Amino acid sequence: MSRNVDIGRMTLIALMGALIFVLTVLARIPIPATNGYVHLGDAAITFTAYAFGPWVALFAGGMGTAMADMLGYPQWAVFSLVIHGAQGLAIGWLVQKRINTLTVLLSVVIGAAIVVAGYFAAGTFLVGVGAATLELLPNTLQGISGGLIGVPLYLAVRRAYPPLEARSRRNA
Amino acid sequence: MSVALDFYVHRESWLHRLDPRVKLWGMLVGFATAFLLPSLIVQGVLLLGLHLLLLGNGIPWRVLRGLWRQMALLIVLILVLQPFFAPSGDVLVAVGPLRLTVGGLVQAGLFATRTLAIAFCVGALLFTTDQRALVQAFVRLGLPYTWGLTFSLTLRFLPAIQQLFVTVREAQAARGWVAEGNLFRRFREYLPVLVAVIIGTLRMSDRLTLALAARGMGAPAQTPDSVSVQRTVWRDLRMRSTDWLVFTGITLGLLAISFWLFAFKG
Repeated sequence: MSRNVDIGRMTLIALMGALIFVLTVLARIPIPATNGYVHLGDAAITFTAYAFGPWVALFAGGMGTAMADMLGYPQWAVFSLVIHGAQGLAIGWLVQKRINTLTVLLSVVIGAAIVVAGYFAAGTFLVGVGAATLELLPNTLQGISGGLIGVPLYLAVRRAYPPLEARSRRNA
Repeated sequence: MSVALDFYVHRESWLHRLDPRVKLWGMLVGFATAFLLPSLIVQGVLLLGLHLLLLGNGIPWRVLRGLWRQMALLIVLILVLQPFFAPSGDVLVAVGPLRLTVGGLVQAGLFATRTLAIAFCVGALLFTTDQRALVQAFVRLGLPYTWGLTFSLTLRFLPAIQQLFVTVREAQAARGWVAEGNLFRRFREYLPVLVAVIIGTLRMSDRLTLALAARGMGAPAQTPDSVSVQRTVWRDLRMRSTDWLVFTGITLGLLAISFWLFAFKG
């Protein structure tokens, strides 16, 4: 009996989306210097992109962060869907063929650049250039933290959970 | 801290009974109004109208106050910063290169009311629409049902993954785990927690895949004589006369705005 639905990929997108939501909302590392915090949602998107490729990261990243925005910043939800979806897609696309120093560096920089530029453009459109400028620094920190935590996280999970390799190949 | 993503406030009002597709259309027209008519009066009327609509349909004031509270910091930032980034018109105060102008203040007010109007448009949809009905509306509007199911699964598994995260973090804390030091050190300290949560999530995903496959998910629907049949649903959405009436009213409103913009604004 042939199947026309990839159930494995569907459940993976659903659960990675839920994980990205939870790590965005619950896992917050305080930054005493700025009295702010960095959440781990971007790290989860980076992990998803490295482990399962651009398409799973596109849908899970966009959906997870848009849903997280619904909790308190509904006006950003559509923008987050696009920006974090693009972040996952770009990172996944860059590292899907090979993972080396250059692709890792590029993925961290481009992933962060998409987040910073995307939110600045969306902020200028939605809340004005004043409030959007104020968000530049925290968004840069947030975007870079995604790569700084996400890449070691992927390597650590790959070491601790060998079945990840097979799942990565299946969903790439 | 619980992160249940359910904003629905159960009531028996006409707005609650309205077809979710009509509410989605209303939300989009609300967005269009907020962006196409940059006038403080229009935005203020839209905002007031949304409040009256929600309060009149049984949404308690504390729910609306909660949304106001979440938006407060952003609104203050817009009102404080935006006037200095877009100065125009009469100067009220000038300190060095910074000029506070009437035009700048009006523009800040516009950005603030527009942001609030958008947030309350989304609120009007989410406070009065059950999650399942919303997903079903998207599917009826053309979203493949597998995508609708994926979204529903995400909603369904939020509490489970939240519980997994809290359990792992508490278990690590009981063994003396603590995230301290500079930012990079804190990042590293979080790795053991995240690794365990991700492995737990992947195992959950495997079990879910098996459970869905065992129930025939994705198998082509066929009759014994190999004729393909349409998917059926238990509870379908149907447009009633009230839904058509509201849909027509919203559409006429959009057409009136478009005509006004075309005729008077060029």
